[in-house]
Amino acid sequence: MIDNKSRYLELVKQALLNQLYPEMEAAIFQLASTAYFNAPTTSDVLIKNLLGPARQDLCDELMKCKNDGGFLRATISDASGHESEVIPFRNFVYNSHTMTSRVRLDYLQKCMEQVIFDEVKGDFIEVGAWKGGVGIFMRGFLAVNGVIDRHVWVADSFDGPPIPMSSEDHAYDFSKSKFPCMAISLDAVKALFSRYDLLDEQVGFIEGRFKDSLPDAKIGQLALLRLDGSLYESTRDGLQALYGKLGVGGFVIVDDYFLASPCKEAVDEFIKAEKVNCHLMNIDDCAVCWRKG
Amino acid sequence: MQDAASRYLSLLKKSILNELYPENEARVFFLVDFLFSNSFISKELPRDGLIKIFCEIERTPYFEYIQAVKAVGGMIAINHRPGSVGASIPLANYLFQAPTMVGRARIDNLHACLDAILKSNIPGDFIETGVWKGGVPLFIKGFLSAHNVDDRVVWLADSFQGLPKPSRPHEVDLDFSKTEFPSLAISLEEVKSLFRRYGLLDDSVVFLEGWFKDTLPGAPIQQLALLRLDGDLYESTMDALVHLYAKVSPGGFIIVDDYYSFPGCREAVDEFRGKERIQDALIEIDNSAVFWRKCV
Repeated sequence: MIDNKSRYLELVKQALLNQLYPEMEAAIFQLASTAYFNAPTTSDVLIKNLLGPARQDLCDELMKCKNDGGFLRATISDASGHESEVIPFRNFVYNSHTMTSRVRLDYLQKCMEQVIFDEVKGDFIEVGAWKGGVGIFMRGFLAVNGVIDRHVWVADSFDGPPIPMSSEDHAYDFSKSKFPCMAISLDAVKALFSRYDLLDEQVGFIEGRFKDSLPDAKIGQLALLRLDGSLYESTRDGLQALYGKLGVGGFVIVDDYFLASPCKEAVDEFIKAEKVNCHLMNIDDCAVCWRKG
Repeated sequence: MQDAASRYLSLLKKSILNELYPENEARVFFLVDFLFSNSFISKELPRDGLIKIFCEIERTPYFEYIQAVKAVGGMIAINHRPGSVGASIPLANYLFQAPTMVGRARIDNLHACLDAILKSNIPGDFIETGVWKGGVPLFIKGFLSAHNVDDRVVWLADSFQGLPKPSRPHEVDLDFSKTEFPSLAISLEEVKSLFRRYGLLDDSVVFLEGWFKDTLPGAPIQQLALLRLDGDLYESTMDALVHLYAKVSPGGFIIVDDYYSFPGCREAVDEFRGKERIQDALIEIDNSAVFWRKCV
């Protein structure tokens, strides 16, 4: 039989991924494509589409995205029939509270359970938080397990990813001028923690560009270091400032290892330079994890 | 400190009311307004402007409006811009985006009734007559699961094809049937699928499909601890009272969702209470709903 702790954590995960009611995101996708591409239609036609089988197909696709970590793309085709993605349209599709996948949230939960079981002391940190969904899950996990001696840290610029400075990141400009959807303010992140009833003194926020904010952050030992900065710079700065604080038996999770090559480069370089003896485990086709020996 | 059951139920309520994603309801509201109404925003908006408002939705009147409606339940009034072509179905159809319309006060009232039923061991099952997407019975089932109650049934009575055409002359303006409001007509499969997503579909969730006058008289219900009426119209409300009130245990609850918002519903309740000489005090929940507790 399922206990209430599992019920709660299951519900938190589904809520953060917005898996409970994909119909609304499907409606947004239909309406936003109509508005953005100025598609001729009438409201009667759109309502019928919105309630018809087309929505079911969209919902199925959304549920798959949420499980695997993808997102819906809008494409246009040119005169020769070649399809390409309309990149600015991505601003209309990130409508859940986390971009990570169900698979990765489940894996994170296993890591948290493991450090509690093995009594690896220390806090949990998310480096690159966006809306704060993963931090909310971490705080919910601690709360429902009655853990009061560990903190959750949420580090972010709270102003979107930086404009790339290093050559490695050149092709990865996700800054807010291009993607306003990526820039979530500290107030908005705190408000989201509150919505889930999980904002309290056991959550700390570290605001600023990682190279400035992380080295002096008043963090003690860490049991879990989750890097979700996507870029070379963010990943490198996260590892350099925080890996030394990770206790033996603690976990490093890199969300975008296979997704963004600069992120992989930063991790591989760090492992080599610091002679980190580790075994990289694939979480899915995007994220990896290792345990500090 | 909160225990796991209260955390679960608190989050379940927020999820069913969609207090977790009000921004997305506001986004739908904004896009529908932009495309078909222009009540708040002009039709001429460049693509960049569209993105900006969409991403910063929580700082717009759309968000405030949605939050205000959610607090008390109910629906959003929005009309087609004058002279619209192909605009026979009300725009409100877009805006029924949460799994329930009941609002915070009514879901908390339900929660309090459920707590009282368990605390005082009031015997019987639970029924909602008129379930729409099933949000309310979903919460009841979640409540029972969280309290490890497995010997009570949650009944869902609905046509699963929307509201009937109003049968009474003074209710003709209240046509919420499928032709006008397709988004109020939720199929049985869709309701089941919502229960499944929440992991709450099992043998003790039972569906009574059809018009109340056909399904309720012969329904194999022995005893009820809670009867929740959400049929909106005179006929739906009266049919449910006539066939189910006698099955409510002493100490059980009767909740009427639309007492103040649908005159026919109120008429049915007042008439039934008068005829049956029910003295139990009718208590107001919010600007729409009332409840009473059957005396012991």
